Amino acid sequence: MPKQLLFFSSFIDRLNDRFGVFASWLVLIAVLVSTANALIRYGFNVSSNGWLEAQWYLFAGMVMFGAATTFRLNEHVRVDVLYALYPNKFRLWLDFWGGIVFFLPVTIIIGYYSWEFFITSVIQNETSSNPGGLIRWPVRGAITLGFFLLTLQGLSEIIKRYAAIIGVIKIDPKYERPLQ
Amino acid sequence: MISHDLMAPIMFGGLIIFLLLGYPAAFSLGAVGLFFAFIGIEMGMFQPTFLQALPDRVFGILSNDLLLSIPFFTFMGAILEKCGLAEDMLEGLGQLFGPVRGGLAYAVILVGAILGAITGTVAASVIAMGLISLPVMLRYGYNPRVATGVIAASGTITQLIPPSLVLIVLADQLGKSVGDMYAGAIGPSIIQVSLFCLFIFFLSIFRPQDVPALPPEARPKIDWKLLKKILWGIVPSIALIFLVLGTILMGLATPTEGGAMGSVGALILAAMNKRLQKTLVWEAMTSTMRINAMVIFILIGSTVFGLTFRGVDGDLWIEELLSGLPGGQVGFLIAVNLFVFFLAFFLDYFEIAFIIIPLLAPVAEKLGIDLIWFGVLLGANMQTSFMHPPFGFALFYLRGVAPKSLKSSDIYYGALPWVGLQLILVAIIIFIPETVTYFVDKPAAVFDASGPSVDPLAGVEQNEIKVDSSSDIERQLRENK
Repeated sequence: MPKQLLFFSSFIDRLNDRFGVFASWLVLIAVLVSTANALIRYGFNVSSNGWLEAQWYLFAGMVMFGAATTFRLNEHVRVDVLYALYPNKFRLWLDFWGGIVFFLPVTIIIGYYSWEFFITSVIQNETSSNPGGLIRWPVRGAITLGFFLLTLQGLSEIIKRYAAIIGVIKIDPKYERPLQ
Repeated sequence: MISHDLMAPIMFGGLIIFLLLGYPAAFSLGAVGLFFAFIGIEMGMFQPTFLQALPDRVFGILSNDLLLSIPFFTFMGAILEKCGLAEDMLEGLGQLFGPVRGGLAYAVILVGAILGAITGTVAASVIAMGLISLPVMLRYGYNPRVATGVIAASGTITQLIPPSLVLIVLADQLGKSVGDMYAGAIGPSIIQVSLFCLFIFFLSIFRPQDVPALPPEARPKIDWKLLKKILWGIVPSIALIFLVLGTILMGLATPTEGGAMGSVGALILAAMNKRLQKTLVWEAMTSTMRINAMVIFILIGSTVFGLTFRGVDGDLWIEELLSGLPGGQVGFLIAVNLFVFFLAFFLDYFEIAFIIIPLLAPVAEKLGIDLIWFGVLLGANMQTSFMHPPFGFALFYLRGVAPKSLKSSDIYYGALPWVGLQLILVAIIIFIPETVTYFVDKPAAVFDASGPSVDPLAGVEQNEIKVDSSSDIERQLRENK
């Protein structure tokens, strides 16, 4: 197995972890922005559509930029009734083929069509239909970028699973369901 | 070629097989949706432009202001959970109730209910109680099955007590207001806590050896210091939760605003307890981000599935299947609850809520079932998914923190009576709808939010923000093709 593939994979992992850090900060920022919006509405009885929309822009950001690192950390929930019984080797194979047959088609197809939306939005300089609302292309771009990052992470995971199957690296395919 | 009538059942079967494989559910769901969309396009059942609706659905989910309350409540819970309040509360209440037979168990039930309202995660409650109360209960001679059962069950109360995430998700999927959903869940929560306490009470009469009182030498003096410790541990966070829930229930704040202000309140409380450290906030931020991404991606996957499933007339198939049931409303509810109870063995409540609820809700509405009642009922039922041996999530956590000497079979057997109690609760809700509707009174109806409007009150002064789910762009894209 060429070394470059593993380099590529660890580059993606680091890239998406950066985006994950960014997404985590968006949580705190969204909390503060929404609180400020609410307090200002109570205090002065005014609300700004732009700032209200900013709330869900931040939400979109934390979902789309955080999904890839969540995937790397194996924290997208699985139905583990059977998975818990599989031997480790089989889990690696499942993730390998699942990545190719399930994951990549989903992220690539949705990503591709969202790209069309994004481009149209940029060309038309699409803005919110609300007075004082925000321009739309950044959030549409976030969707496209998010699916692009997910696609990269999917490739990285496939590479790592394959490397583990042929014994180049070790992966512990232990799975714990995310906290709920 | 597959006949048109068979597509929906085959697709549903495909869903179950894809999910059971164990690949992350969000992407399996999406894959089933896309796979059958291709078949449908090949067979000429829908246009190739069908898939273009997908990014717009994603956009619709992300611009849903209600869903934003999910990370807010998660964040608030994560901060409060790490403030060490569970520990203080458990120790204090345990000492207070210790002298009574079954006292430690009552303390666990109460703390479970309070923690449920405060932190909103089953894991947090079960782990805290498993670490603190379980060793004490075992040391003083509780039957291990009773001890583990009461802890796991009390942890799952979280699912039903507002501001639970399940209720937000259900409200979103049923197109009802979160405020009404919260109000509707109050009655069943109280009934559940009472059922649990009654069970312990009967145990203390008929099998007193299972739930002994603390021996005199282990009883602390009940004095001001103890009371102060309990009060200081509980009162501020309860006040915060009541403030948040109260403003939502009275229609003063949207769930999103309530969640945001609650999060800031939690940060302030943590600072007051001198527990506000960088690492605590950072951990809360990252875990919130990941849970949120996980939940929203399941919703995205389910949406891809649902789009295709409706495309092959799956909704009509389900409706036909369910509306032909004998017994009208009650027959339908019993069948649905059995179905959900069965699904809960291997699906999480997010998956059930996102996949199944959109299919069931229209049928329920046609039968004249109040959707709030329906939602709370299913919420109560889905709690069992945490308690089913051997996969129940609560049991799994408990196993993780229980002493090694405790047998797993004790944990599994211990869970059974509590699953039974939860099913009794479901039956009570089915046959006495007033348990839900009694608390859903008029003020909350201010929020009759039909879908994802941003801020119902902003509309009074400002133009209301609408989610442009069928935006100009989408239309143009369609026309261009």
